[in-house]
Amino acid sequence: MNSHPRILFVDHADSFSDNLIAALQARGCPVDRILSLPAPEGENLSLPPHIAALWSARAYQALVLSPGPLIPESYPFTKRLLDEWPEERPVLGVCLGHQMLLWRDGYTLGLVADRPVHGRLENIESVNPSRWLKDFVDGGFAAFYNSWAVHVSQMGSESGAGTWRLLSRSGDFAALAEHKTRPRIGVQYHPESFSSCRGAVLLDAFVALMQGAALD
Amino acid sequence: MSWFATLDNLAFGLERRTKEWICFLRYETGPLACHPDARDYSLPDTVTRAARSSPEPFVRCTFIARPKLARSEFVPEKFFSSEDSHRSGLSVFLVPFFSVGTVASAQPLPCLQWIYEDYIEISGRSSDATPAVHTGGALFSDLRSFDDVLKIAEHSKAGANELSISDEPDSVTPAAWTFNQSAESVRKMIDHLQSGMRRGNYYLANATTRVSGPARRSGDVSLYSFVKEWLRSPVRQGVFVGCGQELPAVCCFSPERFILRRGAFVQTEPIKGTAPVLAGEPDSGVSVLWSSEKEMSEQRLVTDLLRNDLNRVCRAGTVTVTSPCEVHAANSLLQMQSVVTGELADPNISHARLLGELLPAGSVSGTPKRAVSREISVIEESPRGYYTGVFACEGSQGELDSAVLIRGFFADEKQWTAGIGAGITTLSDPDAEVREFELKWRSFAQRWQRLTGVCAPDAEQGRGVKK
Repeated sequence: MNSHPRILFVDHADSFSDNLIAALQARGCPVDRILSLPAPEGENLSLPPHIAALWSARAYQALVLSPGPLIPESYPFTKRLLDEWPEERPVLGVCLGHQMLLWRDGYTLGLVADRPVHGRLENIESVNPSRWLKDFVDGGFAAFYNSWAVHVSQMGSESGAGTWRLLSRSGDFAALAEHKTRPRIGVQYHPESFSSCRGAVLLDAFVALMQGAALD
Repeated sequence: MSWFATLDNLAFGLERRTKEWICFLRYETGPLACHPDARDYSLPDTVTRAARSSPEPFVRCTFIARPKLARSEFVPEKFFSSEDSHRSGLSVFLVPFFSVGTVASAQPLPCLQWIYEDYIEISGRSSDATPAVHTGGALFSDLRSFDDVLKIAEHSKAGANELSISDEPDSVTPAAWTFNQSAESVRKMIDHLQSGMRRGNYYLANATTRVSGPARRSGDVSLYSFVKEWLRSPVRQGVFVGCGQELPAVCCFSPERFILRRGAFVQTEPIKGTAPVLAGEPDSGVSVLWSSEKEMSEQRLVTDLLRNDLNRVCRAGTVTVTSPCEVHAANSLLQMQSVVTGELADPNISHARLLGELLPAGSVSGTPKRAVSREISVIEESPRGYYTGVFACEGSQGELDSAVLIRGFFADEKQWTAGIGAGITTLSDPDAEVREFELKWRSFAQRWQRLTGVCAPDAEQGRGVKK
């Protein structure tokens, strides 16, 4: 049990990344940030030496993928990092990060509206209990800053073929989801926004997951 | 408004002492209405507690005489990273809008820092009989109290009433202000931004265009005419920089504070959303704002954006929205703002470095800041210069207050310009935004007439925008 799990934070040059990093640091987690940019710059990125050393030594207990512009396909560096990330260690994807995790596992993204409103508040409806986030039940209002999302019809039923379980929804789109067999959490809304009712509780639950899952 | 009346006479009197001025005026009102989600939260040293504790406006006027130019840099990164080498005076900063992550443009404008010692600060509630007075420097050594200030103002009063605003009214020809871009071109710029938003490239982008004005002359706008115009209907912050023809001139009537820093605490107040007030029903506009999805989502967005900026420099967990979506009355409009406060991770960070970490201002760039700033530098037809930049002034108590430079007139050595902008989101209607540009300009242009005592017939007849 490690009460201060070290996090590698993949920043897609988003304007809310520092909110997320501060929220994790305030919960006692040391956070190292690396920038992941779209191609062409993103093609040739690599971990800076001090971070690469920690990576090789398996010093990172969790990976967090930040929100950001564009779509998952735009970020080759993030994809490479995910390919190499130990399967048994937790990952949290927020907004774009959430989309990245689902897209890699075969889900497709759709536009949420013709003119998506960024900064909209939506009601969250809990659907399934979580295997990974102990005692966490989603609900209340949350802040959304996205154009794309995964339609709930893709998430199927609990026993469906998909590798991800839907935890909560906002309207017809997935709000919170988790991988069925690996500790991977994707949240479409912004838990670090000041307007997201249960955002702080979700982050508490993710930190608890990291603390419990820490190995070595 | 008992001592307000003395301020423009004072400005007239001060102008006789020297022609080189920087002036920073602040008018703070407590909120008309606090949102139900507002917390009862107070930091140990809430920086504007005094200003917010009463519904009466709190006013601060800083007159700075003969400041010395300490530093100018063409590259923002170099300016903010070099150490503050002086400590013998107080600092004032003037920073142009610059794009994050792009190479500086061919002729970048300098970031400027002045050091000053000669100043008067007057502050208090508009109804105070004796506002507080702080002075510094040899020029104002005879001023110790508000009574001394009153003596100067009284003495100048006779002169002020006789003299017209412009020193050389006959030789100044009527000025023509023209938009740099056609309405069609502005529309194309907005369409481009919105298509990027629909694809998820960015969420909010501040699009601006420029209006070109007359050639600059010595004494175009005097300290006196600026203060008089500001007092006519005070806006949140007034900025006047008029220190010599080879330096930029600024006459700005800004509704938006950038940051306020005192010691380890920093506060910012993003504004978004205005609504007209129905005569006799001030509260009607409040519910209009709070129930509008467009207004609330934009307010939420800039508030999270400014939280993010503060989180870059504050201790994790200390950045708090102490008052979201509060509504203020600003002349005949209601305006929505949030108050975000945080405790600095390094309480000894210099003012310059702090500014460097936070600029460009979120409300005049967009989200994600890096992507949008780059886009702006590509699609706007002319560089912004000091428009949408920031003015920051260190006060006698060591605090730093600053304004986002919007709604102002700016001059280089040759010519005056102004900028007009709007925050574009997926919900913006491009045609309405283009019309708004023209309306905003037409109402703002009237200030120029009063500042210079000059009639601008083209602007008046609405032939501003080139078709």
